[in-house]
Amino acid sequence: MHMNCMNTEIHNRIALFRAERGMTRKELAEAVAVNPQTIGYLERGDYKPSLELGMKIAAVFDVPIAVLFSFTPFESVADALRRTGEI
Amino acid sequence: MSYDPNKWHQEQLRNRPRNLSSKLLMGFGLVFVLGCAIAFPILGPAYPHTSFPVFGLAMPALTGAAFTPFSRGIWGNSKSTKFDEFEQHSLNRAAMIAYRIIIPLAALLCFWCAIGLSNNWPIPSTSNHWGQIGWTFLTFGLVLPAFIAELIIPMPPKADLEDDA
Repeated sequence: MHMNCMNTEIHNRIALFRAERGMTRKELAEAVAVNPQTIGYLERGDYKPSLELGMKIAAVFDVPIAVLFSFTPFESVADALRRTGEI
Repeated sequence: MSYDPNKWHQEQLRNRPRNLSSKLLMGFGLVFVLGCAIAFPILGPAYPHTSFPVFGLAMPALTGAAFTPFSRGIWGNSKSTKFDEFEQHSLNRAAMIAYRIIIPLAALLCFWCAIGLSNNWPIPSTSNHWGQIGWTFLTFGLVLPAFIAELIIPMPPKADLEDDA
C-alpha cells in the first residue's frame, strides 16, 4: 500500500489522555521538557512533533505511540461508546 | 539560602508567555528605525554634523524583543535559552523569512547608492548616516526573526494561558 505522507495531517489524542490522567499542560510539558504552550499547539494539531517528542509523550502515558498519533482521525469517545453499546 | 536574582531571571526567561504588546512594540520599533535610516540621508544636507543617538532609536524594537520568548537566545544563559523543538522549528522558519527581507534591503541600499550618486539623489554621506544604517541592520538582524516568529505562530488561546498559570 502506498501512502503519501508528505503534508499529511497527523491526528493525536494527547488532550484526551492528559485529561484522563488529570494532568495539566504544564505538568506534561515538564515531563517531556518542552514549553507548556508547545503542548497546546500539539493538542490543537498546529504542530507535528518529532518522533522523539512523540515517543516521550507516549512514554508518559505508558501507551504505544500508535495509540496517541494517527494519520486518520480518531473515533470520538461518544462514538466509541455508542459502537460498544454502552450508551 | 540567599535570593539569586539571576536564577529567577533565567527561569522567567524559559517560561515566558507570549503577549500582544511585545509583538506591537517590535513591529512599530522596526518601522521606526527603518524610517529613521531612510530619513536621515534625506534630511542630512540640512544637518550634516548632527550627532543623533542612533542607539536610542532602536530601543522600542529591542524592548519589544526583550519580552518575547522567541528572542531569549539573545538575553539568557545556555540553560534558559534552550528552545524546545516547536520553538526551534518556528525560529528557523522565521529566520529564513527574515533573511529574505534583510538581503533585498541591503541590495536595495547598494543599488540606491550606485545610481543615486550619478542622479544627485540623497545618499548616506556622513559617518552618522552609515552608523544609523548599520544600527538598523543590526536591529533587524536581532529583532526581525523573533518578530516574524510572533507573526507566523498563532497566539495560544486564553484557556491555554489560564491552564499554564
